[in-house]
Amino acid sequence: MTNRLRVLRAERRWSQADLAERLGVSRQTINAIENGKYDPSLPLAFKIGETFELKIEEVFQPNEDLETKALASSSRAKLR
Amino acid sequence: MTDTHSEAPSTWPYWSLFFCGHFGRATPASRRLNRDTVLGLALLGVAMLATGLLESTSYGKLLLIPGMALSVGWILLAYRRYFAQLDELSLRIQHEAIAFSFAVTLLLGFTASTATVVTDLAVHPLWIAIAEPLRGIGLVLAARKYR
Repeated sequence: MTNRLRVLRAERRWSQADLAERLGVSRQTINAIENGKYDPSLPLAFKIGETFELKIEEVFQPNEDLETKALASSSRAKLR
Repeated sequence: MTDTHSEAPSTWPYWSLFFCGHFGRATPASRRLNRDTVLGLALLGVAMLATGLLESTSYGKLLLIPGMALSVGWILLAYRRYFAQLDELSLRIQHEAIAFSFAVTLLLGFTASTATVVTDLAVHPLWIAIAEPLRGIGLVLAARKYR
């Protein structure tokens, strides 16, 4: 999963610590999400969307290769 | 607001994770965990001392059984309270460390048990305490994954 957290945060001039405080998590958690090391839980992802006043899919996107695999798999299923 | 471009690199408190099993003493939850752990160990110390003093009596040694159970139980409850305060990534790191410790303790346990059967090697019953330093190693390894 990829995300726009770093960009969205920079647009608002928030530091990682600022965002972490708003979300009630540690700064390391924000850092790990931004670096793609950790995918947040659904409740936290929704909270992030809410904090930026955006829909969850405007913050988080599935990896392109995963998306391609899913499409290929659904096409194969249709052909059967 | 702070400058977003001058973020210090995010690191985990590895020393604290390895030696104390928590994410630093900056939070009241960590300080309480430290206090409760010391209390649990003190309780065990008192039980051991009492056992030593009453060793001459027939049931004196048995004091150590409830003493050990109470102190370990107390420390486990302290950890449960601490885990309830953690955010999701910190909790995940703790869980991964417990899984690591469990797996390696099992591996070492079975190896040691086999060694006692096929050789003259005697293993102290308290070998199980190795699970705790292994959890410390697991915490450091798990935290490094999420730098």
